Amino acid sequence: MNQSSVRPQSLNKVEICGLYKVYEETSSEAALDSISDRHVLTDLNFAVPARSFTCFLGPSGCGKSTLLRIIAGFDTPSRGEVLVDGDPVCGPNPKHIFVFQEDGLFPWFTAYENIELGIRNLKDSQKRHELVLEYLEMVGLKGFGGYYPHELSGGMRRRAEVARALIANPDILFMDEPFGALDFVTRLQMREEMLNVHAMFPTTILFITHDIDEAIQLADQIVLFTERPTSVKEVLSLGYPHPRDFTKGDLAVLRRHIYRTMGVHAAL
Amino acid sequence: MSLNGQGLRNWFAVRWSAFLLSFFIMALWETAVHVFDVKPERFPGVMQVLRGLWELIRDGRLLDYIVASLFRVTWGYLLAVALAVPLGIFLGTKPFWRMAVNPVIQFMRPISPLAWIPIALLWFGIGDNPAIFLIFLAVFFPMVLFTTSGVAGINPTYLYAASNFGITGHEFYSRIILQAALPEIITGLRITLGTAWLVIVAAEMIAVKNGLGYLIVDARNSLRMDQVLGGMLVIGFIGLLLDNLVRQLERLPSVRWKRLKQ
Amino acid sequence: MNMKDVSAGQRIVLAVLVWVIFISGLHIWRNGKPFAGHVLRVGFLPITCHLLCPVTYELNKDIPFKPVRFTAWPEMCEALKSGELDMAFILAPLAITLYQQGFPIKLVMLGHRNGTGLMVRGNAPNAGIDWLEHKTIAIPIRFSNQYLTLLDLLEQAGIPADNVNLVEMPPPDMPSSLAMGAVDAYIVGEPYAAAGELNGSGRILYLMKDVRPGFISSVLVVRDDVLQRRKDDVGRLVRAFYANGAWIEAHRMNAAAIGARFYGLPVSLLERVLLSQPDRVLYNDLMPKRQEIDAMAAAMIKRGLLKGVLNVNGLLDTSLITEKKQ
Repeated sequence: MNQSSVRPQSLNKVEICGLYKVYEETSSEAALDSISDRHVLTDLNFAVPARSFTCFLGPSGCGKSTLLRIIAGFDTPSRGEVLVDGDPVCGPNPKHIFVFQEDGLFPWFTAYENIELGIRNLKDSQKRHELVLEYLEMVGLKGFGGYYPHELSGGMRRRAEVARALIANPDILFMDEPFGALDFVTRLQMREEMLNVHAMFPTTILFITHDIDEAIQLADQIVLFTERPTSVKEVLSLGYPHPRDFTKGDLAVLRRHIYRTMGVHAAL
Repeated sequence: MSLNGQGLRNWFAVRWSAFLLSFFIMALWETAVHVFDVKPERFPGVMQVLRGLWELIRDGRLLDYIVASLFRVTWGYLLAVALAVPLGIFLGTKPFWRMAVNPVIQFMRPISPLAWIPIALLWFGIGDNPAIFLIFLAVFFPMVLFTTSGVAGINPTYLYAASNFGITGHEFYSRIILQAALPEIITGLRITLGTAWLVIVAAEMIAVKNGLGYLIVDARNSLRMDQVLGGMLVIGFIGLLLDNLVRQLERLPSVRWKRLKQ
Repeated sequence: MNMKDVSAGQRIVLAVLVWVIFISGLHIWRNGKPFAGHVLRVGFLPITCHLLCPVTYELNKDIPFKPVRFTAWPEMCEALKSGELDMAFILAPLAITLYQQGFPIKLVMLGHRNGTGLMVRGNAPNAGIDWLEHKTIAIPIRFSNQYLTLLDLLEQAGIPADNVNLVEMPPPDMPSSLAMGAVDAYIVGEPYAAAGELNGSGRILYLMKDVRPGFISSVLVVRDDVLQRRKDDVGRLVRAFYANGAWIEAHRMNAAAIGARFYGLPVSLLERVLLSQPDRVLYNDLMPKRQEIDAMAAAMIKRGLLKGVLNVNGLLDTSLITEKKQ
């Protein structure tokens, strides 16, 4: 497929075109068209700009995780395409790192060894060692490299996993509700750190959350999803500077809009 | 095990209580034998048992028998584990083969190794080999099941993460699959070692001329109940040591995570 | 493997290897089986019917052979069939069965005569054979002359086989089973009949010397292939066994001592068997007669243990003991 003749050059890192996903794959094209409750995702079309921080926002169980996994290459769509840098996705990619909701770290490796996985292909062992220590310190885990995940707190585990992801210098960072299992204060701290990360590293971040305020805090772009069968309700662009105060101004209006769109009226 | 003062005290306290309890039981046993005037041929007291054991130690037979039993368990067990773990990993990662082979394994497993004795004797004659064969059977099938279950039950997230980082081939099997299944494999190792020790005693009651099982039978034939009981004590003691040995494996930090999760 | 455990994992593998080498070396050293290539292996059980085995082993140091001890009949049969044994002292009906099943052996001589007792519980002082009706009686194995003779004795007393409850039991277990009341009687070869007497659990109802003089229990069999290949060695050994029958007759006390030592049984037990009554066991007529084997085969057919006609001439081979020494 000759891309330059079929597709114009795109600044989008990720493009979703006509994506459907059903459980129990059927070969019938017609079955895909008649929307039923076996459909998880229906007719998704949107794009993710390069280097943006994009949040997927939507009710629980609406298939955001499934979509993220498809983009990451762990799963395939029933119909439609996912293009990254203009090319269709064909499997997981060490340059597109996924940070999981839980259990992303390998429990039989120490934090150090987990993080080292991100640069396992680096031949120089001295350089590897230095780099791992650098990233440990960067995420605030200096001195904890020799600990096993079960010896670390939830927040520390998240940070180790993020360090493992970042050390690989990924083009895309997928994050599936990474702060869901943490306590409130830690969650707020992690949010701040994610902003730092995004400022420091030139990656595209795709971030799933069901916390509306979190999305407003972090995202350059919010993709709003409906309930199952899921389609895109709205794509919002947030070109606002950080730090963001959503209690007043345009952000407050936007916030109310989102709450209403999601069907919550009393939150304000 | 923490080595601070408190931890050390606890460790000693536990061991000391176990020792005291055993001592108390033995004292009770010896007293009962005297009080009820039990004839030594029927049920010997502690002192007689110890004297009987001392006889066996002196003429070197006890050591010979222990060595023989340990030898057979060692070979049967290690051979079985060496074959079962790779097979289990293979079956655990290939659902088709797992479903195909599983009925065979589930069929073989409940057949007591002792039921294989006639075949073992026919195929391997008398001596060490039939005993090793029986141990192999007793360990192989359960170990395949433990390993398969451990591998099949690996949290899929680990597998996704592994593929994400491009871990494939030999590294995938040794650093990811094996490690993830290791806690369950080690549980299997512990349980099957216990089974192996049980089976060897029974297996040695036929067709061998040495070993702890043979000691029991031979002592009984010679109407030496004191040596029968002495043999039982030795068997129990060694079984305990073996179990503790494998328990150490469970304490490794790269294995401990599973238990803490539970 | 991660860094800390690369050494742990490797250490474990190394430790396992060291252990395997250690235990194997120790085992071969302490229990080393000398290559029994040319020494004849003779199976036996620790009963007086096989006393010729230890006695010959003790007396005839110039004729090397390896006595192989068993504790149960089926295992000995397996060992004989698989070639781990060259010869064996085995119950006569078992020998007949093996031969009839197509396993090529030769029956060359007897173990002893008489030497079997029918014991009843000690607390049934006036019991005669009628008392055994509806009782539980232990036998060593159904392929034994003990079983056949028991059924005969019962039949003579008018008790059909269905009216008693027979259980197969290893002989060493019989005296204690009688003591505990698990069985009411048992019929078995010596010394386990005497053991019942000595431990007070039972009393003798019949000794074979009284009701079936000349009673045959065990016989000596040789594998055909061994007999063909090693005719001279086998002949020397069998003749030694045969000659020692007379020796035992003349030296009963010594024989009891040898037996006690070899079998690991109390001397008093062996002495009771060999010395208490003159013909309780007899070692002087060890030639198997054709009619006796025929009669036993007929009894086996009658009791459903054998099908078809036995070719006694094919099984019996007394040439070894009648031949003149080379």
